[in-house]
Amino acid sequence: MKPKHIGRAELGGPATKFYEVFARATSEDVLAHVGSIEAPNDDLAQVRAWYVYDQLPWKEMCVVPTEAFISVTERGARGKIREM
Amino acid sequence: MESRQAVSHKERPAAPVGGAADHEIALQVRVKSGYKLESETEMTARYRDVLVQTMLIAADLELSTITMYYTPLLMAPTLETKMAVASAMQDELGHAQVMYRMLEDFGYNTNQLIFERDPTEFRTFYLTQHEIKDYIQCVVYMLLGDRAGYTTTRDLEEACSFGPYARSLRKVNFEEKFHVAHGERWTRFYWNHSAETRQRVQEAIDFVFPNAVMWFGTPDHMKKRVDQLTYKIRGQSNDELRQRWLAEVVPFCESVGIRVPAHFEPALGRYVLDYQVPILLDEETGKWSDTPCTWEAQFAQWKKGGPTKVSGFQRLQEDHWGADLW
Amino acid sequence: MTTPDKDALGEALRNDLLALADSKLVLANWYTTCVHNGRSLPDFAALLGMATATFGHTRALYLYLVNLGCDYDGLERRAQPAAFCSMNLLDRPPEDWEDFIATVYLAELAMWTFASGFLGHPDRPLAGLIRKIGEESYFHLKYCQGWQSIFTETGNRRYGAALAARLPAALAWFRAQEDDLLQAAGQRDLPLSTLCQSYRAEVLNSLGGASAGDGPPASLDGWDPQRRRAGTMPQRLFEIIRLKDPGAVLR
Ligand SMILES: [Fe+2]
Ligand SMILES: [Fe+2]
Repeated sequence: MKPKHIGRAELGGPATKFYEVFARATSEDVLAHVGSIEAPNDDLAQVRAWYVYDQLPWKEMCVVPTEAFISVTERGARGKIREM
Repeated sequence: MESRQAVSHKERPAAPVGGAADHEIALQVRVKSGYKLESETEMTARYRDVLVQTMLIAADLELSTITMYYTPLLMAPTLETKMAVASAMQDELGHAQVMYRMLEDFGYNTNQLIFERDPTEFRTFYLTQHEIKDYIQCVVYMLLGDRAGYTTTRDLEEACSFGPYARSLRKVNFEEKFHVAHGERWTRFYWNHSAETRQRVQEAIDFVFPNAVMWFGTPDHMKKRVDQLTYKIRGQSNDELRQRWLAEVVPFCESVGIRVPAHFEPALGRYVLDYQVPILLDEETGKWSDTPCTWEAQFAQWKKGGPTKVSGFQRLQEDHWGADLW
Repeated sequence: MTTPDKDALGEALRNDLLALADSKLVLANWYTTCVHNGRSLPDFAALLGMATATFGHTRALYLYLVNLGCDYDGLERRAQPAAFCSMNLLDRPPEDWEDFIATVYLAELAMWTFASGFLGHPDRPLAGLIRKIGEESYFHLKYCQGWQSIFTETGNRRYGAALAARLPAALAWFRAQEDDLLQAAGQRDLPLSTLCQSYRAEVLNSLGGASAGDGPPASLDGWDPQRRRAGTMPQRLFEIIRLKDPGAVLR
């Protein structure tokens, strides 16, 4: 069997984090939200985002911790970032 | 990202006055007129339940491909075909990621769903519960099976009243289109390659076709629960989706010369099957029966499930190392 | 200094690129064989993505080897384990997740270090191919680094032990003939011994200096300098990596 509570086992700490993924395919495109990924650290977030959201050969891709988002339109609410 | 629409909705009175029934009807009317929900707070309990169940099955189906396409990955005859299978599987697992991620917003935990759920509780369709034996069967699965999945997910993208889900399917459908095209290209290639590969294609078609027909479920007249349509989680009914699929695969197969048990019936203006559903698969021989069975027998076969229904998900919860590998 | 003859140079390059390509082939099979052992859903996608890329490297290198007189189909469908030139490091299956990450890290970094010696190769298509391999290997190495951080944070001793146990086989792969013909002829940017030293330093550095060293060097018994390996690929591994179903070959 795999270790129980595998999500915690991979971190060895309290919890994995969500990251939002942004990318553009060409320099004309705007940097757009393409998805979301869970990972225990920044390195794995980058790699997982790269392999999960690989529908286009991105010229630029970045990941941002979801907790860093502040919603402007939904006053008082945490940012609700979803698939574009 | 969130639009002004979401803000103005929030500023409206919180809920219509009246009982639960009024709530449900009001939501049904709104989605029928094209309204897209953006968040859970706009949902009724019933809407939420239908949506979540739909997404759960879709997520499990995407995940089941890691088992389905694994043997073709091992059996692929060239490096190029190995790359094609591995890359398609990578896409599918990405689709699963998108869908389970969506479920996180409804209180589910992906790791729990995949690694801690009882493997018998995953919900997939009979089509995906069989091991694909080799690369030729694999491309036929892409032609018919991925096409069936693509038919379902295109409908969701076009129609689903939950905006975030519809949007997330853009990536999924963009990639499914390539799987289907890959299936078409190589099915045609093997059909024309040699007598031996032609026979293998036909055998694969004979095995997969009736199963893909039933991907879309029971005929409409038998369906008791229609919440998916009432709440516009889906746009088209089982039979409508099945027609859409037939209208794409039958002309393709006919153009290649492949025999399929369905044809267009001009008098009816639609595609019809050349056999009467339901029929049972003999899992020992891999052959479908020539004569129809009862729906009870069909449901029993589905309930029992194909050979990899449970084992595939079980494998994901196990660790295999050392001499178990080679 | 004597000018190495053209045939000997061609053969040296062919041997090195084939050793790289075959090692990548086995590594790609490590990724596919272990995919179900992934620790999370996105791991499954990442492992399959790395498999796809690594099979791609093998294929691109085989195609390049056609320029050096090899037959592509012949390379792809070699029928005997003795004909393969993959690194000994990858012969033995991983014993657990820690061993898997340690071995993949050692293999990815060894192959990239080795390949990077051709970044300045006078044949531009080869240099370009190597650059492309490097761009993709970047993510594979980052994947390993992500896991290494977790092992470090959690004080996972199993990882360090696995790495130390596998390192000698990895270092052995860099073994050079008396003199490095390719480097002398300007086809390799740095001597193999230098590449090997920087490899070793980077691996030990990744352990944060916590390692006592890298153990005794791997035995030289049966070392075949042409194939960069000792002995024959294990039969069971060969059964996994060999291409099957000849009836479905696409030509
Ligand atoms: Fe999919
Ligand atoms: Fe697909």
